[in-house]
Amino acid sequence: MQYTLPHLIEAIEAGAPAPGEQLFKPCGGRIKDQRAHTQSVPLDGSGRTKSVNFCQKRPSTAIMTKMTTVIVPGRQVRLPANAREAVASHRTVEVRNHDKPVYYVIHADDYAVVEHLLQRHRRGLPVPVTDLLTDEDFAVLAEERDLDAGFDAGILAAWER
Amino acid sequence: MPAPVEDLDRGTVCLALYPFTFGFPLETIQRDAEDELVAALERFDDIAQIEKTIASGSVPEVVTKLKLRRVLLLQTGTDPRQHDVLVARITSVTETMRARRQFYERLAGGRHPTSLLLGAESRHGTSGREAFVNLINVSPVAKNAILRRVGFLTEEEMREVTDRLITSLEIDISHRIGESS
Repeated sequence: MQYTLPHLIEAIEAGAPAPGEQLFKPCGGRIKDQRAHTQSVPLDGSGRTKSVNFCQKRPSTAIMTKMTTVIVPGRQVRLPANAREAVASHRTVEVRNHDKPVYYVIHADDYAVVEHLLQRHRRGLPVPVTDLLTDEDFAVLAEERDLDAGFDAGILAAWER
Repeated sequence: MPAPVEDLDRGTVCLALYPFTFGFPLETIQRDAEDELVAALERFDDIAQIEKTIASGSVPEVVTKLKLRRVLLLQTGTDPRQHDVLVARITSVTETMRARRQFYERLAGGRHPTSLLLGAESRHGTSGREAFVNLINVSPVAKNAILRRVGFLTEEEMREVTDRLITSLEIDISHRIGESS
């Protein structure tokens, strides 16, 4: 398999090779081990090439595992009727265990809205933090920016110790 | 007396003079001489206005506010050669904040992306009150502006802090995830 540079970058950014392909990553100016090799890489469609040293990049098992969606047949999932109705109307269903949320069930169309954020997060790539905050979060940030209303009592207690 | 530097470990909860972020309108201090005690204040309503008056290389004095508040040390500050240390502010949870259901449930459930709830342990230094570390705005403070140590977070709690810092500072750790597999 020979990559063009854009293809190579895309594959590296994706964190995993396509099925059946072996991924190599550029390893700078010197070849570090026996698995490394030098390859002439087409820069674009013009026929120009660039010599690049490559070493084998082992696909990240953690990334591969995290990026794989587990598909379960619908008949194996039992949701109460009201939960199914809620999801159908694009409301979120929170599944709790001992009063703690353990799963969220959302509509496939809603998942498509947040899927890219999840993928970036799982790969360890930055996500704009403001995309993760709610209107309430911003309201709290505005409140806590200027003062700590409950602090005075706390500081007295701390000094008295 | 400021807190002794040997107290300033990463994960320490301290009382410190924490500066308010200044913005506009802004007041600058005008003195006839550097050591002149009597000074006049000049008000600027926006940055374009102040830009016209600042000469290149000048360092204007501005009026700002400081407040003694709890902070969490995000760095080890025990080396006396280091003058400042990076901190996150700690804020008490108020009834108004509790009433913000979505915010409070994420905070109390440990699912808030940028804030961590404290107060369940006396070692948190919040006098038994619920408070949270806000990791979205972190700031350096001078170590001699740290009054005293009032608590500490465990390594496990600091890992929770680290997770939120990675999110709030939008740090790319993709290469580390690859290396760890």
